[in-house]
Formats: sequence, C-alpha cells, structure tokens
Amino acid sequence: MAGSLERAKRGLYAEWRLHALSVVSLAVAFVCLGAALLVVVNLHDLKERWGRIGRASVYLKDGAPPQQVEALVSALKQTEGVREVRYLSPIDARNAALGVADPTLKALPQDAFPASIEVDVAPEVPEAEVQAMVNKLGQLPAVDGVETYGTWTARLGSLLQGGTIAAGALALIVFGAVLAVVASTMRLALTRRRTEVEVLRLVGASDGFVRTPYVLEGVFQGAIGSATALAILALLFFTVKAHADGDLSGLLGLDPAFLPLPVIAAMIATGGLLGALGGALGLRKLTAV
Amino acid sequence: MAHAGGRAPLTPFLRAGSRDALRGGDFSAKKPVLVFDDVQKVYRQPSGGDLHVLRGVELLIERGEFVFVTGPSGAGKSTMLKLVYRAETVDDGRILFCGRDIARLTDESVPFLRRNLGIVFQDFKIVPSWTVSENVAIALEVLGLSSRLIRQRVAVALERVGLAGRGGDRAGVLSGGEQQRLAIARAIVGEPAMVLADEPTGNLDPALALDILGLFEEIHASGTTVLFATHDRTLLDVRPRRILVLDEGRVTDVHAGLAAYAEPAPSYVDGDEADAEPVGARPPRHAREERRLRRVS
Repeated sequence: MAGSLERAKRGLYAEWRLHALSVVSLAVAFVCLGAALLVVVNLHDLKERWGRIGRASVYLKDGAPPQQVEALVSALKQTEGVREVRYLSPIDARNAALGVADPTLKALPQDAFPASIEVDVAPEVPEAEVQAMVNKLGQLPAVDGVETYGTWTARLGSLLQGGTIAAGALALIVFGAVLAVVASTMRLALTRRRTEVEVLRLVGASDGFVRTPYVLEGVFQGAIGSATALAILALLFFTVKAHADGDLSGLLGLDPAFLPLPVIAAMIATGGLLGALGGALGLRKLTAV
Repeated sequence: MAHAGGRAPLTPFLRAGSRDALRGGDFSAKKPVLVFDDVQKVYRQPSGGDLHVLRGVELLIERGEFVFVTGPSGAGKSTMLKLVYRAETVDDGRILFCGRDIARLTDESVPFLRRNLGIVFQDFKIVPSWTVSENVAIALEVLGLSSRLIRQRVAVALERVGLAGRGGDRAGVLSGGEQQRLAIARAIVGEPAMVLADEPTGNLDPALALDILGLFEEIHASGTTVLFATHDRTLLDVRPRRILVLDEGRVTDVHAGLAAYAEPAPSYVDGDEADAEPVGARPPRHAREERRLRRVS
C-alpha cells in the first residue's frame, strides 16, 4: 500500500496540471451540492426551531370584559404544559411592535393593536394537545382569534421537502459529473503514462498493483475537490453572514449555521469514494502488454 | 501438437526462494528451462489472410545457456519472445518454461511468470519521469520486498551495469547506452530464471552495442540463462554462442557460433545447403553461416 501511495503521489506530481483541472471541475460541482445542502440544513433547523416553539397569541375582542380576561389568564396558567402566560394590552402591543423606531408609526392610535394573551407552551407538549387547546380557546366569547406557528411550520415543512428532493436530484447530477470527470482524467492519465503501465506489466505487476495508484489518485481528486468546494462555500457563507447577520437572524428567528461537521466529513468522504469509483471506471480496460 | 483445454489454477508461477536453483550455477545438473514444442503462431491479417509467423518451432534451452536468435525482420524473433512472456499466446504446440506450459496459464498467473523473467527491449521501456533507482526498484516492488532490501538490491544491480551513483538521476536524462543499462539492471535485479533481450542493441551505435553485449555476457557468467534476439551479425561473431536462425517462421539453422566453424556440419542442417558449399579456403560451416547472415542483415 505504501508503494501504491508513493506511486499515486508521483503520478499526481507528474500530471499536476491535469489533476488540478479535474479538482477545479469537481469543486464547481461540489459547490452546487454544498450550497443546496446548506439551504436544506438551515431550513431543517428553522423548521425544528419553529416546531419546538409552542407559542400561541390569543387575540381578544375589543371590549372584552376584564373579568373574562382575568379568568382566562388564570385558567391558562393552571393548564398543564403551559410555561408562561402574559397579557398584552393594546398599548403594550403597540409599544412592542413599534419600539422607539419610526416617528410616523407613533402617530397610530393607541388602540391600533388588539389586546392579546401570549401563551408559551413547553416544547415537550405534543402538537396535537397544543392544537386542541387552540381550538378550545377560539370558541371562548372573549377571544377574537388564536394564532400559532403551526401553519408556518407546515409551510416550511413543504418547502423543506421540496428542497430535499431538489438537493437529492442535484446530488445525483453531481455524483454523475464527478464520476465522469474522474474517469476521463484517469483515462487521459493512463494514456499519458502508457509506458509506465507497460513497464509494470512487464515486470509482473498484478492488475491490482497497476490499478491501485490510479484509484488512489481518484480518491485524492474527489476528496480535494470536495474539500476545496467546502472551503469556497465557507468563505462565501461567512462573508455574506458577516454583512447581513442581524437582519438574517431577525428575519428567520434563527442564526444561520454552516454545514455541521458530520455533513462536511460525509461530503469529503463521498468525494473520495466517488473519485475511487471514477478512477476504477476509467481503468476498466488497461493497456494490455 | 494441440495443447490441452484445461487452465492452470491461480497459483504463483514459482515459489519464492526457488529461483536460485533455476539459475545456471550448477552446470552439472542441466535441465531445460525453456522448451518450444512444435509451436505455431498465426496472425489474422486485415485483408483476411493468415500470416504464419512461427511454423512448428522446436527449441530447447538449458539452464545457464546463452542463445542468440537471429533472422531477418519479420522472421518471428520478437513473436518468439512475446510468446515466452505471454504477450502473445501460441495457436498450437506447447511452450514449457521451468516445466510449466505457458499457454495453459490463466491471465491472473501471467504476472507470476513475468516475475521470473527479465525482459530488455530495443526501445528500453523505461519511465523517463522516474529516477534511475525507481525504474529498477519497481521490479522488486511487485514482489513485495521490504524497502530496505529493495534499496540494497537496486544498488547492487546499478553497480553491476555501471550506473552506481546515478540512482537519483531522472531516467530521461540518461544517454541511450545508459538507458539500456538501466533496462538491463531492471531485468536482472529480481534474479530471474531467464533474461529475454529483444534487439537490445538496435538503437545503439556499434561500440555501445558491443558494450551492452558484454554486459549480457557478464550476466550470463553469473549463471543466468539469456535468450538474445538480434539481427546484428557483428554481435554473433564476438563469442561462440549457440545461434538459432529464424526464417519465415521456421528455425532454419542451429549452430554454436564461431566455435563450431571448424566442425563438420551437424546432421540437422539441410542437406542441400551443406553439400552446396565449396570445400577449401574456408570451412563449409563458416561459409554457410556467412551466407545466411548476409541474408539476415
């Protein structure tokens, strides 16, 4: 194996331009795949986070009797799984929404926002129970409507499903491209190093002995190609994030994250594996001597 | 003679450590290392016809022999060697190398056969981008020897061919003669049972050709069997060696070089040719050889 590794290193060094071109092609393909994975991973995190947020906003009707409101708050506080109940008057809601920002919006009337009760439910409470509670609350006379994150989570779920399918299709295309690029590179390398193969054959090298360095070169190409793609992607991601960090976090309620380590490791391993397969495919017919 | 349909199992051609016995050190116990038994080789031509390259070739080479194969271009010299290292397969007949029928080897066993052969070509077949040492070491790397042993044996082989101290040089920068020496070092480093040389001096000037022949003589002197294909008659005259003359796919003459000049023509020489030579100033055999070699060259 050490000898094969040494010969693979020698081959990479001797044909570095050819291999560099191949690595760049692979990196482009893997950047596409990595970007798709990045979107899918962050959408998944967002869905998980929104799914875990058991928050409901119970909007009260104008002129709801204070006793009814107090009774409702008290009942909710005693409900199992409810962590916090907070009453927001129209003024509180207006202040929370506008803050100290826009003077034009400050001209809105005091009762522009409805009074509401904000309910935080513990994450371990099943979604079905939360939904049942929401249905009951919606039937109370003082309640105008109840809003939860459920609908948003459902929409995000379908978006994530679509994204996952698209990423899967893209992955297949990328895998095909990687195999084709590595196999072509290996065929070309084999043609350029025909004498080397002839010599190996003549001194009694087995098929495995001849093929192994080429397959290893494929592994290096695939792994380096995917690693380069990840480096490019990381650079782009953190540059964009640095410029739009606050806005993104505020918009999504989540700090966008780069690909997790297991995904990075899997991408590099996949690159190496595809490189090995491509190398083996490219060497299906070795020069016979 | 048709060879049997059975194929040899996937086993090493020779066991490690058995090679010393196959080298020609013990001349008292000579055994055939290579036998051609009614070997036929036919190439199908694109035009549809058959080209009979070898027609019923019979040959026996004993351990430790040095044998020249000569003949005009297209006579079948290279094909004969290719059959030995299984770059080609026989159409009929048998080739026994160390007692094993080469034609019956499986493709997987061919590398094991080649590990017992050292092969030298006219075009050297070295890897120019590798160093001199790497070019020689590859013959031992396929055997799976330790790197320490490989270094030692490569150094010895390079010294034997006069390339000591050049191990770190790129093979591509060597001169033609040096490249051929390198190819010879690679051929002998594994201590093969036999060295096959296919026109090894074809690309070299006459002085270098003699130099390379001298190297083969030295290798032979250490006990290695050598089969040397050439059409250069000046090499055949250097030392008395057994010479096979191939013409139109047949072995048309077998004789023992200059040492046999004064001897009567052997019985296997064609009667017409033997009788046709004038007896007088030169021995009949010498004249016959001269005429044949003129045809060759």
